Amino acid sequence: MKATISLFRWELSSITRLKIVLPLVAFMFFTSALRPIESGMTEFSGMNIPFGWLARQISWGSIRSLGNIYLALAFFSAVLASASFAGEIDSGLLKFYLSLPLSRLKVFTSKFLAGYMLLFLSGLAATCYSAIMEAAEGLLIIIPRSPIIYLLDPALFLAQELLFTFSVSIYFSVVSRRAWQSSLYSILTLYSFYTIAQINPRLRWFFPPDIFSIAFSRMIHLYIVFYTLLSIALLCLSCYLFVRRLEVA
Amino acid sequence: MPRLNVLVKVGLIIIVAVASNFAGKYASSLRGTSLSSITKTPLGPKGHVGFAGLLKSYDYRFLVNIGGGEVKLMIFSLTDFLESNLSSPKAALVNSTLRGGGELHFKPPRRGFYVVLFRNLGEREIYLSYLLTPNVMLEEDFMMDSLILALGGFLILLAGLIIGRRQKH
Repeated sequence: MKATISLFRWELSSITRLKIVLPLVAFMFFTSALRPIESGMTEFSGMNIPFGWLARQISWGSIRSLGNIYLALAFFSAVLASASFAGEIDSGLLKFYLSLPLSRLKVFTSKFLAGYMLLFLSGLAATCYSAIMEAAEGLLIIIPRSPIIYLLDPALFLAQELLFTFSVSIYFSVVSRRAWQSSLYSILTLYSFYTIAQINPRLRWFFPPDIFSIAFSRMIHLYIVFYTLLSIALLCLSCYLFVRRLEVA
Repeated sequence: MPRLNVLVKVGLIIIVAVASNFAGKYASSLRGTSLSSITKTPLGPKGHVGFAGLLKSYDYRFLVNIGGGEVKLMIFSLTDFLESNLSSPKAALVNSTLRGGGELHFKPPRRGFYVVLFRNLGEREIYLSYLLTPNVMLEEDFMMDSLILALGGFLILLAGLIIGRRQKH
């Protein structure tokens, strides 16, 4: 456990360099503001302000912005996964790692967790910042009086969306072995989902990123479950390939 | 590349984050006017009905139709509304009486949550319908807030540079 933690910290420090973090922050914060929270009103009687509805307005607005954050998540998932896996196979650093008394599973887990945590935290920071900036007046009154689930929803959808982009990128990194190839395949695959939705808007209900950003019906929730299971399966397959099949020459 | 201390890094990240968010907001504000909401509701004699929601600091146009009745339209910020009560609407940002219907322009001082209150001044039930149309543009208060945050980031960066230089000597 101690070895995994120290490896995780090493991985995290290697990917939180300024030359990675600055473009990541720039892309995340830019895309999070592209779809602002819409203004709108709901009816109430007496003094019974519908705090739940107001919190949901912010929560749904934040979830909608995940449709654009997908662009940043897809790009940086591809870059980070290829740098962590395929890039280290290319440079020979992975050979050094594996010569240490560490299991391959621990190496895989620490690499995955470090990349996932960095992307998740930057995505969450961008989403929260956008929500706070969109509703400056009165947000502090609404937060303590509204159900906690509305505040957690954007984080939950972000975690699922990121799991999808990162698992696809890790799979290509483990399979293709060369950093530039894995980046290219990941970006092409992940951006093709986005492009399909732009070309034919009817298909947007079946593919990411819109299923993660328009999650208002039960059918869409089913698709999210499907894509989450697919992501977990891809991750398990990548882990198996990395631990059992990968030959590091 | 010289090794930067934590304050310089934090300052740089804040400046980049604020600038990028502002750029995204600017890009999204080029849409122009959009229809926001249409509402129709019955309003009893001397009764009142309220609407709460998020308003940006755009120029809003309220088109109100009350079919021959007379209503008082009041707009509050959510904070002021919770502090005041319905019988003493002193804190209202807008307090105007409309007969038969009419048009009203309202620009909230800051983006945030607001309450719109309609009170029927007549003795018969009326059907109130209103249309809220924002003229989407770049919000001045958003720009000011971003500028203040970026300035905060710049000050942190500057403090980091000064501390770094002192440690070097």
